[in-house]
Amino acid sequence: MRRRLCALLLVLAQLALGGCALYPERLHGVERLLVVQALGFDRQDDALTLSMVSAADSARGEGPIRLSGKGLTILDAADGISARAADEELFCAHTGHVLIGEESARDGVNELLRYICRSRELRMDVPLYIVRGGSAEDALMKAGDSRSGAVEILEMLAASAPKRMGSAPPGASRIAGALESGGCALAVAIRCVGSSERGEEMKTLVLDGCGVIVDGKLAAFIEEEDLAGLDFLTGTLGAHTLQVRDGEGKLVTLRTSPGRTAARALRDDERKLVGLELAIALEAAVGEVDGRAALSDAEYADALAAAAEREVLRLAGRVVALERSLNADFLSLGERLSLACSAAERERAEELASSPGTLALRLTASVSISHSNDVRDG
Amino acid sequence: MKADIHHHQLGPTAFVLLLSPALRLFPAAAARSAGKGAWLSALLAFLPAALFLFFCCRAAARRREGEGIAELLLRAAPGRPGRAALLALGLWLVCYAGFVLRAGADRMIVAVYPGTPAAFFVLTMAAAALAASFAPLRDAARSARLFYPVVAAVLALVLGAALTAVRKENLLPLARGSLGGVLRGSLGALDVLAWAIGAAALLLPELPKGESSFSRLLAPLALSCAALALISVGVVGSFGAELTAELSWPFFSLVRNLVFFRSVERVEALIVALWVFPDFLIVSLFLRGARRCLALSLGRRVPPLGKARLALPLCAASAAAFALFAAPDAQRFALLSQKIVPAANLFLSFVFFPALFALGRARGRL
Repeated sequence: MRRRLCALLLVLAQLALGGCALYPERLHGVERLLVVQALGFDRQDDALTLSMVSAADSARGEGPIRLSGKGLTILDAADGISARAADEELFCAHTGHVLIGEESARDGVNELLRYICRSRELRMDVPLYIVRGGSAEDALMKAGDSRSGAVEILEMLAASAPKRMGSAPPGASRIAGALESGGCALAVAIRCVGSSERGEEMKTLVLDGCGVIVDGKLAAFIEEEDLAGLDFLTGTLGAHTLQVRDGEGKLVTLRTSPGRTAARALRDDERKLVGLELAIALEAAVGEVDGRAALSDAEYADALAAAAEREVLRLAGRVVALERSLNADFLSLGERLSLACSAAERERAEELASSPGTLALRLTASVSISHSNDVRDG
Repeated sequence: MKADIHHHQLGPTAFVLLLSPALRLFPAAAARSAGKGAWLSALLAFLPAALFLFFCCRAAARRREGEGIAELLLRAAPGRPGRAALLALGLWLVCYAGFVLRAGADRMIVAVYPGTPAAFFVLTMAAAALAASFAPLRDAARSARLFYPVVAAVLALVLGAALTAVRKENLLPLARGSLGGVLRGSLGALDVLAWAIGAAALLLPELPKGESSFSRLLAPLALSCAALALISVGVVGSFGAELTAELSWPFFSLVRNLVFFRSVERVEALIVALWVFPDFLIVSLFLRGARRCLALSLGRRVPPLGKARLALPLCAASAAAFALFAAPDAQRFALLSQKIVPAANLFLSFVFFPALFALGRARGRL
């Protein structure tokens, strides 16, 4: 008898642990869930605008659902949207993209990051994008057409980001962690632009560089054309395109292959640690040239390689200049100096890294022109 | 009494017991103290934890057949001092069982059911653990053997997936100046490991003499240290030390981020629910241990489990009451979880038990 009672008690306990008794509203079918996949945040003075977009349901031929609402706080705005979508339950657990408008990001991203970290529904590593030159609401409400919306475009952009900047778009937890530890972080920037795809005028989203967040506020952007320089410096080194002039003045387009950037401690004549040396090593192939590329001619090949090295250093130098002007170590030079130096030099490395604006940095680039695809040049 | 707990059940039992405080306490506490070196803290804790294990094995070798910690303590300090010590230990076990009930409820509330009253989870788990605590200790060891592959496999799966997102700059380099922090962090790991060893020692009454040899238990201890180190690598490597230190349940925040095979995600509710197993084992084991300590402290013989109609429900009710009233809000729970309980565990493991054992040895009673 006691065993049966115990078994009954255990079964009842397990049912109760499922929480069914407390949450009858969760017994609704999934068809009543509005699965939000992108969120947008814009704060203007005391008002916060929250925007939500679902993915298009191509099986049913339904377009994306776009909602937005205002409130004092994020939850306040979400409650307002929930009230309007009374027949559907907002379900944000599968949110894959979070956007913040440029103005709001300049005012500060900490409120949003804390909300994401605190939220039970959102993943902490959800990618965060800064909408350059506009609001997140505009980007989510206006991008796309009646058949597909911002979610589909953002999925595409997220997939292409690693090719441009060497890694997937940084998530909220990574940005929050970087801000906590180093005081600065990078976030992918996008822009809402007009497009005439499929023969109709519409708005779309494009990647547009990278936002530099310093002390919780958007401080500057790394331009799209400088992203290759950022990639060269951070050492992830995806494939990039370099346009240089060869010895004969012809425009040559080179495609770089993934290479490596070595960080070495920079020492003076007395072997004292003074800074960091970044040695960028790349291979590049001739992708396009107006005429013949005489690669078998050593002088021509050397001149082309030297031009490519100058271009690599120019691009990397622009990013370093931005870091210097912001006095913010978004390139993690301090960390890399600590990794590159000996244990005995760690304190000296920390001292040097405490002022990223003045840390001595030597950049070197070595580009070898590997081949010219299928054409025998020279 | 049929004694059929074997040494190969001790390691899995200690490992399952370890998982509850390991995830509640260790990653954030170690990140606060040791920063990037949290993973090293876990490894550095191996040596002192092995010394504590050696001490426990030596103490266990001094017991007679059928004796447990309570009987050993009473032999070491007979009369009123020993009974007072047993009373304190019994009350501590009840309070700790209550704390585990409260911590389990907190985990459920934070990770899966926000806004749910803690009483709901506390009373449900207390009832389930009470029902289980009427069974002999060997059943607890067997249930640990059943839980062990499940929780170990889930832990391995989660850590395996998490390691792909680890950023090495969150873990290295370690500056020479961080050694002090790493050592402070290892105190947290030592606390968790020593606690698990002590909790597994509650199985002693049904463990035959000679089954608790040091050499047999060293490998499970090394595995536990490695598990703690890997948990730190996964959590701190993903979030960074600063963010980890601010999170309530960093391991479950990590689980929330995981995507398996690019299609399965948001499995945190399932994984949080699995951690009910360690809590269930701890509470049921501690209720039995508390009953034994309290009965002996009152100068009575420990009655068979079947006749403990009043003692065990009283212990369970006291534990539930402690869970509900000792930490009614998050601040008091944090104080209990981060300061009082770890300090009390370290005191019991490295002062209380060794002092009584030394006393018993000095007077030739052990």
